[in-house]
Amino acid sequence: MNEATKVVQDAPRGDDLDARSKAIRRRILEVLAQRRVGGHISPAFSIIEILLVLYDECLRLPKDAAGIDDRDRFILSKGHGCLALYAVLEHKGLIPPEELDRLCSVGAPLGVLPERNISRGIEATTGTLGHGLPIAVGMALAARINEKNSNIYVLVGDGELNEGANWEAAFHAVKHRLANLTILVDRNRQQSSGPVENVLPMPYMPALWREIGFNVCHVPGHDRRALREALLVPLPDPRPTVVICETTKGKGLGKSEGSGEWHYGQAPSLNEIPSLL
Amino acid sequence: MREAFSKSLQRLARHDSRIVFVGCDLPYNSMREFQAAFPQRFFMEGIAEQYVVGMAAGLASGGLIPYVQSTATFITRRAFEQLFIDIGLQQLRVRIIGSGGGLVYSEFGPTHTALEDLALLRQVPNMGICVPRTGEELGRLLLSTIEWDGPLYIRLSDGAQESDGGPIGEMGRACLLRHGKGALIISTGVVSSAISDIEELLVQGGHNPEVLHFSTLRPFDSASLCEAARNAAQIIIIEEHHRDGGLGSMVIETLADAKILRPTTRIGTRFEPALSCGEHLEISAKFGLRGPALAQAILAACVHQRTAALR
Repeated sequence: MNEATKVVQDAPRGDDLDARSKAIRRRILEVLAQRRVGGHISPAFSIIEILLVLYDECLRLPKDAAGIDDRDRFILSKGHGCLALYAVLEHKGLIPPEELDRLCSVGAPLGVLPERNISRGIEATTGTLGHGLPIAVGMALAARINEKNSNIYVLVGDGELNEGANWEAAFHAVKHRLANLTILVDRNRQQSSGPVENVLPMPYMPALWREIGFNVCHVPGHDRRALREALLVPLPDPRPTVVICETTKGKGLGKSEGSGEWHYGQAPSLNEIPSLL
Repeated sequence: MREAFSKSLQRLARHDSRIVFVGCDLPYNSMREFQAAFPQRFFMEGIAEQYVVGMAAGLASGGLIPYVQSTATFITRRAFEQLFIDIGLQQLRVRIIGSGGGLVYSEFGPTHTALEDLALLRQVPNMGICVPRTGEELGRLLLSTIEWDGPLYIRLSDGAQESDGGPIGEMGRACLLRHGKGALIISTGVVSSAISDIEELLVQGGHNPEVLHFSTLRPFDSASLCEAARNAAQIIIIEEHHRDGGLGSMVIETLADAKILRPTTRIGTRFEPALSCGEHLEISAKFGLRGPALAQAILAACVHQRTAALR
């Protein structure tokens, strides 16, 4: 626990992000500003580096994912981070820019929470918390039954782990020895009403995964080198894996980093954006 | 009916490798033959209904067709959000098999009876709803469930007859169990078989009712309902389900939309603490759903409606 806290405190604030990480953050704010809709900004900003590593280096993902059943799958269980997912999928060519530009307009495919859209790389409808992990367990089992070599990744929030259905799924993932399942925990230590440590403290969370029977890696969640190592270096045990990513809510939002500000809210104006980033 | 389900599913699984069985801590030895025949496609999971529905959604997104069995009331009440979002909104081919539909588990009391399952599932987008009345009807419906493009709920009623000698219902088609004139009786599930048991009592009472059975509430055969209702003087709806939200509501809503108005009586259960626990057939009779009590309830409805019409 002390170690984990140390990682967060030592992480540089904002200026360590490379040009691409910054461009994705800017794109998210600009879409919201142009569309004049509210969105979950800070929950998206904590997961951008995790998504970049996944989509750069881990996921075997054809451009047209529909109908290809041995693809790797990624589920954003904390659907509140979907602005990051949309921007990364756009960056990877799976979502056309004109669709992201129409965010949350009537009849548009992309909303403030994600809905299943395989051809756009969105594997599950999420936003109501605690649904992604059970689905991911089923996908990992389906790959086994179908004798496909797909890996399933699911990203959950640390606040989201309050939901009991996650733990039902976790117990079964271990029972089935799902070595093709990787759970990423976005440990940004904030949930809607305040800090995780006030709302429902779970200091035992990392130890709990290990006790249940998972491989557990613990990494600074904005450090792409560390994330890459955790996700790509094969582990010896045929067990499911949890990668606990120590992140900062609203990473890259300057003074608002690490706070509950911008969890959900009205978009900034285009003029405001440079001062925010 | 469990036995019929087990045998039919095994037969289907032999010809279709996409079929997977998932149980939610079912009674000892459940589906043992299926397990022996298809060990890779058999899962007996823990007491975790929410997980099991999500997991089945994951299996279905991998191209498989999971049949998930649990106690009807547990899976519909506790996992409602998973039914709605994971398989309803995502329109995945998951089949939910609810055992103990209706008053079957009335000995255990109100935590175990499934009397609002149909009302709940009607609200789930894309959810097909099957309420077979006999083992052979279940077998026929199961055949159609394979290619049904979306989620589906099948309500099992333990203790149903294998056959009641009547015609067998099909997906999306109302099944005419008795030709008649005057009163139109509309029913679903095992109660439909119970009506043929008391036919003689109705005839002795001077009635010649038409009996229309619905083995599926979605797809719902509105056309047959409207046609039968137009020719009827009065309507009596009978279901082993709360009077609100189930078949009775569907019939009244459908006929109101079609501007067909007939004197109508709904016979079904209601939340009643004094009747929340007891032996299945005894409690069913208290609600007027079996045997002479069913005949009395129907005859009373006929008298009442005739009186109302005269007024």
